[in-house]
This record gives sequence, C-alpha cells and structure tokens, in this order.
Amino acid sequence: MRRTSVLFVAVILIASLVLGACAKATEAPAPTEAPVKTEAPTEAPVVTEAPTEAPTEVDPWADVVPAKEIVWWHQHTGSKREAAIAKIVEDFNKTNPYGITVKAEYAGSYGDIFNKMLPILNTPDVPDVVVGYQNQVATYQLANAMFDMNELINHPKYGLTKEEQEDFFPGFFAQDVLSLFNNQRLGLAPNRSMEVMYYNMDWLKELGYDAPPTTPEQFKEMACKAAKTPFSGATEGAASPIGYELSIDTSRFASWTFAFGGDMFDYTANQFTLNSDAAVQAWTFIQSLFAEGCARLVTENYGDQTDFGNGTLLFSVGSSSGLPYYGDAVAADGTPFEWSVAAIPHTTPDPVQNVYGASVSIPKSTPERELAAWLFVKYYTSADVNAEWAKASGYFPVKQSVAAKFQDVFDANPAYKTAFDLLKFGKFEPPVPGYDFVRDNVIEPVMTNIVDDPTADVKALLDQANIDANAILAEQMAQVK
Amino acid sequence: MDNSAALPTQRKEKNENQAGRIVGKVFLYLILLIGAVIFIFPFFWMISNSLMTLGETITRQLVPKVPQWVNYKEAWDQANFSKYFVNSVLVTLGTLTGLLFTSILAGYAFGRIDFKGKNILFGIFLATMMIPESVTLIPNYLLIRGNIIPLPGGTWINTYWALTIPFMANAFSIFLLRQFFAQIPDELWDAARIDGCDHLRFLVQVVMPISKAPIMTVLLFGFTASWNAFQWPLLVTTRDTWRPLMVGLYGFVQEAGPYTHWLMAGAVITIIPILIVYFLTQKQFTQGIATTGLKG
Repeated sequence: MRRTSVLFVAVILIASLVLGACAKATEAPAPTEAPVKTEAPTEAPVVTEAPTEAPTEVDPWADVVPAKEIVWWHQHTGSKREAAIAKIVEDFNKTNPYGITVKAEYAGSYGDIFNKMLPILNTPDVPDVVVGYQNQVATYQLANAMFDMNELINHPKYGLTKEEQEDFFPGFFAQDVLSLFNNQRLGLAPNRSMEVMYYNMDWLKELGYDAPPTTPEQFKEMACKAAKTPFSGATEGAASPIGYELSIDTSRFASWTFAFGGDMFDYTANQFTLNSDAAVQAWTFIQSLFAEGCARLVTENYGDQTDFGNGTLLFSVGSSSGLPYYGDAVAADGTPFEWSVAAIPHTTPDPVQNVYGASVSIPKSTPERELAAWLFVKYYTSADVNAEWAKASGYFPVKQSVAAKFQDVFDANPAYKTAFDLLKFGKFEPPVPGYDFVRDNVIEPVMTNIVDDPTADVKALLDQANIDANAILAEQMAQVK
Repeated sequence: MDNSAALPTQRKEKNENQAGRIVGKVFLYLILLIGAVIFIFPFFWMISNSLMTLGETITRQLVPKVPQWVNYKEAWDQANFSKYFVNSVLVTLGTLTGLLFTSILAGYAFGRIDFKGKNILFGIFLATMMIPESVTLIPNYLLIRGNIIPLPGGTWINTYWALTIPFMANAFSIFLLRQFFAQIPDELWDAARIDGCDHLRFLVQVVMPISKAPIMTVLLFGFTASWNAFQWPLLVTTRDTWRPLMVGLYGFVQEAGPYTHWLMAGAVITIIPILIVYFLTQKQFTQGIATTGLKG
C-alpha cells in the first residue's frame, strides 16, 4: 500500500514536471497560440515605410557593408535541383563584388522549415534568406520578424530598376506585398506553379469533341458523357470511367472560385470572402457534377494521376508541377494517348488561373546581413538566373523576358508552353497568417460536405466557413507584435 | 466378450480423429499462408516498384514490364547515399555504444542494487515512456541548440552530438534489462562475493555473459530506431554534413508527387543492414523477448 502511494506521488510529480516543461516550451516561440484578445486586422501596429521613402536625404544603407557570409535555408532536393542551386550559389559567390559567400542549406520541407523558424525568430540564429509560402511568412511577421524589402527594392544603388520590376509577371510581383501588414514586401518570387486542367484529347475526340472545354457548361457536358462512355485506350482492370476527379485541397477551391470570377479575400477590407456569389456558383456547379455521377473524389494521394494515366479519367485539375508525372503516367503502358493542359473552364471573359509558389524572404537580423541577403535575392531572381533555375527545376520562371530563352523547352514540351501562356492570368490565394488553419480546418471540410451531400446548402456552408475563417484571421492578427 | 463389433468403431473413430487433425492442420497452414502473404506483400511491392518506371508506379502496375535495375544506381546518386550511408553507420554505432553503456549500468543498478529512492527513481524513468515523442521534440531541440543549458561549442545543431547523445539513454532499454537482471538468482551474487567480486566485476564477468539475449534485444531495438530515425535528424541538421539515409530518402518526395521508383530502390538499400542485423540476432532477440516477459 505504502509502495503504491509512493509510486502514485511519483507519477503526479512527473506529470506536473512534464506539463510544466511543455507549457514553458510552447510559450516562448509559437505565434499560433490562442490569442488574448482580438483586434481588427487593419489595426495591426506594424512598422510601415513607403517603398519610395527609403532613399531620402539620409540613406540608411549608405554606410552599411554587406555581411561576408550568409545562410540560405531552402527545401529543394533531388540531384538536378540541388545541382542547380549549388551552381547558382557558386556563381554568385564568385562574381558578386561585395565578397559575399552564400551557404545554401537544405532544411527539410516547407513545413519543416516553418517549424524550425518559429522558435528562432528575432534571434541571431535565423537564416539570412529563407524559403516560405506567403502565409507562412505572414505568420513570422506576427512577431515582426521579417525584413521589409521595400526598404531596398527601389534603392538607387542596391534596388531593382523599373524595367527589372516590370519584367516580373505582375501577379507574381504583387503576391509578396501583404496588405495586412501595411503593404510591406516580405518576399520576392523566384519561381511559380499554376493550377491547370489536364485533359485526355483522344478520349474527347471519341466523345465527339475537337477541343477542351472553356466554359463550365462544356466541361460538365463532356465530363458526364465520359462517365458513361469508356475510353478505348483505357487500361484493362483499371477504375471505372469518370469525367472529373476532385481532390479535397483548398487550392482546388481557389481555382474553381477564381474561374467563376470570385476571390477568396478582400484585400481592401482584409477579410476572407469565401461566401462570394462566385464561390457559391462554383461549388454549386461542382456539387451538381457529383450529384449527376460525372465526378468523384480522389481517394488516395495523386490518385488522379493514376486514373488519368490509365485512361479512366477525362479531366483533372492540379499543379503544373505535375506535368512530368502526368507525362510518365500516360506513357507507362507503351501506347500513350494525346493529352495536354488548358485553362480551367471559366465564366469570366479571360481565364483566371490560381498561381502559387514559395518566395524567398529575409528574416530580420542586422543591416549588414539583411543587405547581403537582399543582394543574393536580387541575383537569384534576375532574368538570366531565373531562366537557368526554371529550366533545372521544372517550375515556371517569374520574369516575362525569360520566354525568349525558353524556345527549346517549349519545343520539347508543348504542354509546358500552353501553361506558360496562361501565367499572365494568374491570381493568388490569400497571403495571410493562419491560412494553413483555414485551409485544413475550414475550407477542406466544407468541400467534403458539399460533394458528399447533393442536398447540402452550399451558401449556408460557405457563409459559416467565412465566419470561421475570419475568426481565425482575427485570432492571428491579435498576436501582432 | 465380442471385440469384432468394437474394432471397426475404433478404427472409424481413429480415422475421424486423423481426418479432423488433417483438416485442422490444413486450416492452420491456410491461416499461416494468408498471414505470410500479408506480411510479404509489402516487401514484394517495394522491390517490384523499385524496378519500375515512374509511369508504372503512378499507374499502379503490379510488376514491371522491363526491370529497371538502373533505378538503384540513380537512387544512390540522386540522394547522395554514399555520404549518407556512412553518416548513418557512424551515428548508429555511436548511439548504440552509448545506449548499451547506460542501459546495462542503469538496468543493473535498478535490478540488483538496493538504494534509497530506487523505486521512485525507477517510476520516474517509467513515466518518461508515457510521454509522446512529439511532445518532447521542441524542448529537446531547444536543449540541443543550447537555449536551456550551455553546451560545449555553443550549439549542437549540425553536429554528430545532436544525433547521438539524446538517444544514448533510453527508459525502455533500461526497463528491459532491469527485468532480466532482477531475475538472476541471488546465489550467483553470493558466490561471486565470496570470490571477492564487487558489483562492477559481477556485472561484467557474470551478469553480462548470461544476458546476451536481452542485450541483443536492446541492441536490435536501438539499431532499428537509430537507423530509421527521420524526424529528429531532419530537425537538427541543416547541412548534409551529418544527414543520415532516411533524410536522403525524403528527397524523393516532391510537392507534385513522389518519385516512387527511386524511393523504393532507396528503401531496399536502406533496409539491407536492418535485415542483416536481424538475421544475426534473431535467436537472441526471440529469447530476450521470452525471458524478460515482454510481449510484442
């Protein structure tokens, strides 16, 4: 009995120690903790500085000497990409007139880098350049931990010329200017991907069509016909034919909403707009595809690539970075069918394409380190280097002038060219803190509910989702330091 | 007494019993066969996919049309395996050395030496087994970065020490050895004392030689854990100086999809040392599990 009591006391003691340790560990760094109070996003007390105000009478960068050694955390793996990164870094280290040496370090996936960054924000341990999605960088900025590139982008000595700035695809260039943080520029894009519609042209021809759909009505007609008419080139024993497979992913939500003329965020009011008329129309349309047996859900990761390759899926919507995978899947059985990509069918006059990709950002450190980091970012996103990087990585370049250097790529891969021509129609998902929570906990459950239940009230679901998403945003913004 | 009627009945019963036994055996072997297929299929799938083209893996073929042996070379080159393999070996050796040292000494102390607060201390050790690894990840990370206590060299991020020292002591291994050491008859200790042994000599000359089975079990568990470690090395290494194999494998998973053919080829390569160690220690491993009263 006494022994039991002693053991019990010991367990209680351990439990309290462990809980104490846990609390201590999470208190310090995590900016995603429950907020104490909520504030309107626009009231965020962030440091503001107009881009053009940087080089005024006294140039704060005049006496700053760039640091000699900086570290870049990236997520690129695979020999081709790592070799390209190594070459870019080596060339910069050899040619930059400031004697800066960049050390490129693979720091895991985007999620790993995000988790590693949180505990070290605003400490000297931060890398000088870091890869991150806009919403991740926005989360860092809750702790006022990121360098506003507006300070240098227009600088007469270190900045980008007007031509260099205009050479960026406008949507890509604007993507890292965060309205929630008084339009601070927290990153610069080195590459992008885009959501496109993959289609099986041979099957379309068998169905009596000579071109992919451009409107949702055409898309539905073709998809429903395909669900009843198997493709002659389908792999035996593969899944039953279907017109469209939807993966529950917020990027699909954005793609279809954009294609119906909507947006997910109001950048003036700084509020989510998940329940816009366009979103309701788009998701009522998707719901009808499921209700009529013309679409189904993707049941396993990248299962749409599998079914597309097996000739049992007519349309798929996914990232352009999947182009090589689709190509290999189609060629797998030795009798490839004709396929390509196109804009997502839209109700707008021009296509509206969901573009995304991580940018390179600069955590706050010292002016010397920040300047050196900026000089590397400027080099990395310059047109020639951008072309080199896009070719090696398979991503899209961010500079319009790169097209002239890409003829060989376009010739070798016509689908890539088709997608490249759509880049100018790019629109992006909200670059706001807490967006990962909104994606995982709000939008994706709603998508599932809509397609699972043909009688679900799309408007009511999206209204509630919008309330939830804005509540998350308010919680996040309440933590602004 | 007329036995002529009983004999056919006995024979019939015997035949029925034999038939029943045969049916039972068939049933048993059928279940074992199904179990074997279930366990073997993932290995078959891994090897089969390692010999496919990317397209064949995406379209979920069962066997490759033409085996792509080149995948092994490509996987080896792509993931810089030559470097990471050496790293994994060195990290595993270092970790196992420390693990055996601490586990044997602590297991012996808990199992055979009476000292004040032993049970409370052992309870504390056991309690650490209840804490999920994910909970301790960030505190451990801060510890390794030198945020909590000063470390020699400032920080251990990107060092050999970060990958080995945190795993050189393990509550489960201590518990396992303690269970075995506690069962060693006191008569052996008494006899050893008469011969002038102290605890350390008794441990080295008597206890360890008769404890090969549980020590091998600790070794196998430790080897598997260290060799397969992924999350921690990913967290504490930002350069490839000490990056182990498993982190190298991770490089085959891209945002648009995995390169399953290379991933599986890499998996086959990484699993070979585990299989070798397992085949070398399986007898002791099974004994160790049996003699310490543990069940899988």
